[in-house]
Amino acid sequence: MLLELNNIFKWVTQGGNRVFLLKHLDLAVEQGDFLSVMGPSGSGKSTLLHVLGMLDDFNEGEYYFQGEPVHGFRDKQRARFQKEHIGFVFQAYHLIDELTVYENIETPLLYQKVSSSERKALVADMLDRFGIVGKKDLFPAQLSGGQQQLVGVARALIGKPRLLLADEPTGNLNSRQSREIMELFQELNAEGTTIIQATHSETNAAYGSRTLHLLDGSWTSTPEP
Amino acid sequence: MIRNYLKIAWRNLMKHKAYSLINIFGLAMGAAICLLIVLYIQSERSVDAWRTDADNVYRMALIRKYPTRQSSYAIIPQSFAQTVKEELPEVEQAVRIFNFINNGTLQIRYGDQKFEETKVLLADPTFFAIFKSNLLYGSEEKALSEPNSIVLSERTARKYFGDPARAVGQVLIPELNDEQPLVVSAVVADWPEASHFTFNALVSTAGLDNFEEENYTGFSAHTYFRLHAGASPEKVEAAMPGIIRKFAAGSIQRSFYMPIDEFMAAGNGYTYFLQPLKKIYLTSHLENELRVNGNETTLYIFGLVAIFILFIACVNFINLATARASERAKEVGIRKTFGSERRMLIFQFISESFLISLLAMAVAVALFALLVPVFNDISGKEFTFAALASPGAVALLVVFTCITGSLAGIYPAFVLSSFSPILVLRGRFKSGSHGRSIRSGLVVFQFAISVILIICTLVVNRQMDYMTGERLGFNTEQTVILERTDLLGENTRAFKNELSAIRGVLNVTGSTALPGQQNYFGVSWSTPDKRNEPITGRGILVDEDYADALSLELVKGRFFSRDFPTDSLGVVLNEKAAAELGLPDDPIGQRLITPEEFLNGPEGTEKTYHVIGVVKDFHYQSLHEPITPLVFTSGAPFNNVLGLTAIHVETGAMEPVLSQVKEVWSRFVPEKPLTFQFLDQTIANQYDTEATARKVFTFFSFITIFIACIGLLGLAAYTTRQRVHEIGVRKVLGASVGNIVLMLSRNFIRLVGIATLVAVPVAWYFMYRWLQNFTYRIDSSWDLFVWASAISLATAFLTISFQAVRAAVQNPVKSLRTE
Ligand SMILES: Nc1ncnc2c1ncn2[C@@H]1O[C@H](COP(=O)(O)OP(=O)(O)O)[C@@H](O)[C@H]1O
Ligand SMILES: [Mg+2]
Repeated sequence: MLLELNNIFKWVTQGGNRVFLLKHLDLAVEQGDFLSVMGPSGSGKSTLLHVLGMLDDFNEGEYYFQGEPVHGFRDKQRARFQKEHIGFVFQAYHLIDELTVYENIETPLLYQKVSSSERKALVADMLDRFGIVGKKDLFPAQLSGGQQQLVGVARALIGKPRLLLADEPTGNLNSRQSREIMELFQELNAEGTTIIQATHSETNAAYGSRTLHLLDGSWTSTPEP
Repeated sequence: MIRNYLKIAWRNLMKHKAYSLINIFGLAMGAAICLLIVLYIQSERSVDAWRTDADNVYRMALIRKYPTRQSSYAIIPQSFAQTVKEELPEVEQAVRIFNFINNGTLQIRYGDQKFEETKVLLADPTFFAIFKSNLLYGSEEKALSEPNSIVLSERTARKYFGDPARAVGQVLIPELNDEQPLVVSAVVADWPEASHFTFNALVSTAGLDNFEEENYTGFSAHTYFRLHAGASPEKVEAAMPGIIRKFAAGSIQRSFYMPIDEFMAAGNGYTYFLQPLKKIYLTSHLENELRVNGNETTLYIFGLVAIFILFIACVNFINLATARASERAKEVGIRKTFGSERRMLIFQFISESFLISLLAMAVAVALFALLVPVFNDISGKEFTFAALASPGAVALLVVFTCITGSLAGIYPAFVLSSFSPILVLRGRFKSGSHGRSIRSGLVVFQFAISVILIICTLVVNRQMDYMTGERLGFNTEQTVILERTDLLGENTRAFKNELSAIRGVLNVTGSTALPGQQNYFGVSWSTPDKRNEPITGRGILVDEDYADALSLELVKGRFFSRDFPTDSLGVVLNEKAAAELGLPDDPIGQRLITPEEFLNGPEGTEKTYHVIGVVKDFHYQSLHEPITPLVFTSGAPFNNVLGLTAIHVETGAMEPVLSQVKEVWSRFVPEKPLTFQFLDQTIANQYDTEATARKVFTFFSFITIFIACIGLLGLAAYTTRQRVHEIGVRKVLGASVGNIVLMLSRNFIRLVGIATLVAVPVAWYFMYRWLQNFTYRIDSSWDLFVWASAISLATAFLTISFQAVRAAVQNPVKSLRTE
C-alpha cells in the first residue's frame, strides 16, 4: 500500500458556518496505481490532490503514506516526505518564468542536496528522454503550452518520486498535446510510477487504471479497495 | 544553488528595468551621501588626533565671572604659564602662544620685496618641546631661543627664498612700529591643517619685555602645559584658586581698586580649567579661539542624518519589493512545492538584495565623484575622489553593502518566503495587499524625516536672515570699512575731508571697532562715588561721525561734536551701560572714571569723564551674545588716528566711490595697498558656522526628499499599473482625468499628510533647542510649518500625479485589452 486516507474531513469557516471541502473521504492507493479523479469544477479535486501532496492540511481523519502517519507529522517531516516522494504537475504549468527550461527542471534537485555533476547528468537524461534538448536554454514564455507542460512533467519527475500528482495536466492543451502527455503518463506508470490525476475529461480518465468521481468533497460511489 | 539565485535575481533586475533603476539609484544616492558624511566625520575627528605625543598636553582656559554674567576665554593672563610650572610638580613644561595684532596678518619685507604674511603667531622658546614638529632646517633647541628669531613653514620659506634650504640665517623686516629685523632660525614642515591652530610663521617671544611683564588679570596668552606622565589634570585645576590668591591679588588690587576678597564677594571670579589638547577642536568654543573650531553636536547630527538617509533609501527598496510581492509569489509557491524550505527562500531573497546593494555601491562610487565638489563647497572640506581609495573607505563600502543588503532584504525576504504555496498556486493570492500597512508606515516615516529636515532648513534660513538683517539696530548696508587707517597719522583729517567730498559718499567715520569685528577693548567704568563697584564692558574710540554713519539712534543727549572741545572728556553710553552704572533717568552730565591707563593722564593722574549721550542698544557683537555695556570715548585726544574708517555710500554708488577711495588712499599711503571689507560681509562672517549649517541642511533636506520621492515614484508607478484595468473601466463609465488622478493620489497624499503631522512636533522641539544657541532669535512661527508641509505635499503630489496622469489619459480600450 502506497497511501491510505481514512475518513478525511477538511473545511473552512465562512461567516460562522463550516463549509466542507472534503467530507468523510476514504481512499487506498497501491504502488503502481494510475488513478483518475473526476468531478465537476469546484467538487474538491484540487483540494484532494493538495492534501495528498502534503501541501495542505486537513481537519480530521488519518493519512498514511507508506505506512507512516502523515496526520501526525511535524512540518519538517512533512516537507521532507513531500520533496523525496512526491512530484507535481499543474494545469497552468507553473514554471518559473525567469529560469530556462534546463534550470526549471533542475530546481527540485537544488533542494535535495544532489551534487552538481549528478544534477547535470540527471537533467540531461530528462531533456533527452522528453526530446527537449534543443529547448534547454529557452525561457518558458518561448515555448508552446504542450512543451511547457512537458517541462512541467520533467521537473516533477526529476527527483524520482514515488507518486506523481497531476491537477488537470491537460486542461490548457489541445487534443494532440493532451494525448502526448497522457501517453507519457501511461509509459511512466508502466515503469512503476504511481499517478493520481484530476481531470474533467473522460478520454483522459480512461488512460488510468481506475476512476473515482468526486462531488462536493465526497465520492459519489464507494471506492473499491 | 547560489548561482541559481543570483541568476534569477539578475534576470528579475533586467526584466523590471525601471524598478531596478529606482531601487539601485535610491540606494546609491543614500550610500554616496553617507560616504561623504562618514568621511566628513572622520576628518573632523582626526584633528589633533594624530599627535601621538599629546596625551598629556592640556590648554589652560578660563571662565571669568562678572557680577552680572560670565564669559569663557581660550586665553589667560600671560604670567600663569611660568608661575604654574614653577608652583605645581605635576607640570613638566609650559608654552604660550600669542596672536599677533591684526589677527596675525603682517607686512614683511625681504630685501626690496614685500609680502603680506598671514597666520603669524608669537610663541615661547619651549614651543617645539611641547608641539613635536618636523624641523627641516635648524634645530629644535635653537629655533625660538634667540630674541628676534622667526621660524617659517616650508611653504612660506619657499615663497620668500625659492629654496627653503636657503632660508636659515636670512633677515626679514616686519612692518611694525620699530621694524626690528627678524632672523630666520628654522624651517618647519607645513603645519597640518588637521590641527586646532596653524601658522605660516612663528616669532619668538624671547627678549620681548612686554611678554615677561607680570600680569595676572589681562587675558592674552594661549597657554599649554605638558603634565608628567600619570599626573592628574584635576589636581592642577584644584590648585589654581590657591595660585590666584597667592599671585594675582596684587594685580586685582591695581586693576580694580579693591582687595581680592572684596572683588570676589562682589560676584567676580576666575575658574581656570584644563582642556585635553586632542579635544579642543571639537569641544571648545570659547572666546579668542585660535581658529573656528568644529562642533561635536554637528557631527552627531550629521551621523544621524546619514543613518536616516540610508534608512530612507532602504525603505524604498523594502516598499518596492513588498509591493511587487505578488509577482514573486508564484515563484515562491513553485519552489515550496518542489521542496524548498523557508530558510532557503529567505536566503535567496537576501542574496538578491545583496546583489542589488552591490550594484548600488558601484553607482554610489560614481555619484560620490559627482557630489564631492558640491559637498566640499558646502562643508569647506577638501575631499577628493581619491579619498575612496583608502582602506577605510573601502571597508566602509563593504560595510554599507552588507548593511543595506540585509536591512533592505530581510523584511521582504520574510514576507515573500511566508507565502503559502496553495494560495499562490490556486491563484487566490491577492496582489499588492501584502504588507500594505507596513508600507504605509514606512512611507509616513520617510516623509516625516523629510519634513523635519525641511522645517530645520527653513528655520535655520530664517534665523540667518534675521541675524544678518536690519533689526540689528544700525545700518549695515552700503558701508565699506577701510583697514589700517592708523597709517594716515597726521593726515587723517585731510584724508577724511577728501573722502567726504567724493560724490555718493554720505558719511565717513573713524573708529577702533565696527560691528562684526572683535576689536572692542575690554574696559571698566564707575561713578566716582562707587569706584569699588565698576562695571565691565566694551570700549571703543570714535570720531564725531560714528553715530550718523551707522544710523545709531540717540535716546538721550547727543553724540560727540566738533563744536564742543570738552567732548574729549565726554562719553556716550549704550542703554545697557547706563542701566548697569545705575545712572539716573537723565544721565547727561553724570561723571565717570576708569582705571584704563590710556584713558587717563600721564603718570596715572585720573581724568574725570562726563556723560554726553545715550544710544539705543544695538547688536555691536554677534547675536550669540547678549548686548553688554558699551562705552564710546572720543578719538579727539588721539587726533582721531584710528584703525578703521567706515564710509557710508549712496545706493548704487559703491563702485565709482570705491575706485576714487583707492585713488585717494594711494596718494596718502603709497607704500601699502588699500585693504577693505564690507560691513554687511563682516557681520555675516560672524555666522560662518550657521551659514554652513544652513547650506548643509538645505543640501540634506533636498537629498532626503529626493530619495523619498524616488521611492514614492516607484510605488506610485507600481500601484497605478496594478489598477490599469480598474482605471479603464472607470473611464468607460465616464470618469474624468481629474477623478482618476485624485483616486490614485488620495492615499499617498493622506500618508504624506500624516507624516507632516508626525514631523511638526519633532521638528519644533529640535529647532526650539537649536534656537537656544542664540540670545536673539526668531520665534519658530507656525507659518514655517505650513510652508514645510506645503513643500512636502506638493513634491509628493507632483511625483505621484506624474504617474497618475499618465495612466489617466491612456485610452481605456487599450488598458482593457491588455487585461
Ligand atoms: N481556502 C479555501 N477557502 C474557501 N473555499 C475554498 C478554499 N479552497 C477551496 N475552496 C473551495 O472549495 C471548493 C473546491 O475547490 P477545488 O478543490 O479547487 O475544486 P476543483 O479542483 O474540483 O475545481 C471550491 O468551491 C473552492 O472555491
Ligand atoms: Mg481544480
